[in-house]
Amino acid sequence: MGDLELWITLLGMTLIAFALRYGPLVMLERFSLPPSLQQALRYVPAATLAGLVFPALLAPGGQWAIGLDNERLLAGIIAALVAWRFRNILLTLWVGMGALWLLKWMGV
Amino acid sequence: MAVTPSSPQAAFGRGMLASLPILVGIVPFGLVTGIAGIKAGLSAVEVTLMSGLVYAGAAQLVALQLMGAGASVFLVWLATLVVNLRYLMYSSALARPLEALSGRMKWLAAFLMVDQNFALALNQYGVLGPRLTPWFYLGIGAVLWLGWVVATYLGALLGARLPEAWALDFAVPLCFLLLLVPAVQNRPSLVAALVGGLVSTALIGLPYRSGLFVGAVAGIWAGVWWENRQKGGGQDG
Repeated sequence: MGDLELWITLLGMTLIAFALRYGPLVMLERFSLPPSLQQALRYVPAATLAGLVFPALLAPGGQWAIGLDNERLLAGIIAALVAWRFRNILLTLWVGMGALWLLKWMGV
Repeated sequence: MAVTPSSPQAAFGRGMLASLPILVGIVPFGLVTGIAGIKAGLSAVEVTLMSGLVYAGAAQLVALQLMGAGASVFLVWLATLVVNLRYLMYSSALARPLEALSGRMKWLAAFLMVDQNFALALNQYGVLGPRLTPWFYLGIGAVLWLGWVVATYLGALLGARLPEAWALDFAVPLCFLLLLVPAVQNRPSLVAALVGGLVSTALIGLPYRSGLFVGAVAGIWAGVWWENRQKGGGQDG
């Protein structure tokens, strides 16, 4: 990616991120979003974030890999349990990375 | 400076204090983003500027992966849009609590909006009231923004020195996982996550992760469908 292309990309990202945060804040003083759209927006975080997590765990090499030889899936499941139980960012990162290193080292 | 407990300055200060435990959690995300920037071919200054301007961790991590894979500008923008859609929801919910801010301060408030100050400000709205909540919110936002930018820069300096064998790219899905877990609050959002995640994985072969967009739409649809089905059937969940 060249310099100019990089700056165009960053500028666009800045504008998009800002517009989504600014628009409703100033417009909703006068009117509110239709209920069906509000309902759909509630599921955006779960659906998009899962779309980022699942492929990295279930298909790390670009193809489905569901089995005990997929150390990223195993480490991810362990990290998910820790994240769910303790809600602690640092602990989850350490346990997740540690599990991956251990599994790789054991040659699972 | 004499400040009464109920002044805007005091509310701003309380916000800064409230942000400190969250800052501990923001720093590792920032470090991972800085490292990801170096891996995607950006310089330390470039990825730090990205953090300062875009200020959206999940969107930045996806964008950096796409940029590293040689995706077009348009696709990076589209990914930013999809991953940041949740801000539409936050911004709508904050319109009332942040009403008291002047027009210019609303620009700042929007710029500093993240998952954490959204949740805390909404909680404090009942306690502080409409005059003080915005200053509490801005106090959190100011600290978190600074922490995010500094952590990104440190991560970028660090990233150039870390060996490939450490598999640090795995920290990226772990960061997404940390955001995903609290987003799954009930049966419909669990369905949204499962459908969104599985469809995205099934479509992983599509170029430049466009499966993510299809998966997101499918997941949102499934969540809405499940919620309506629960209402209609009168089941609990």
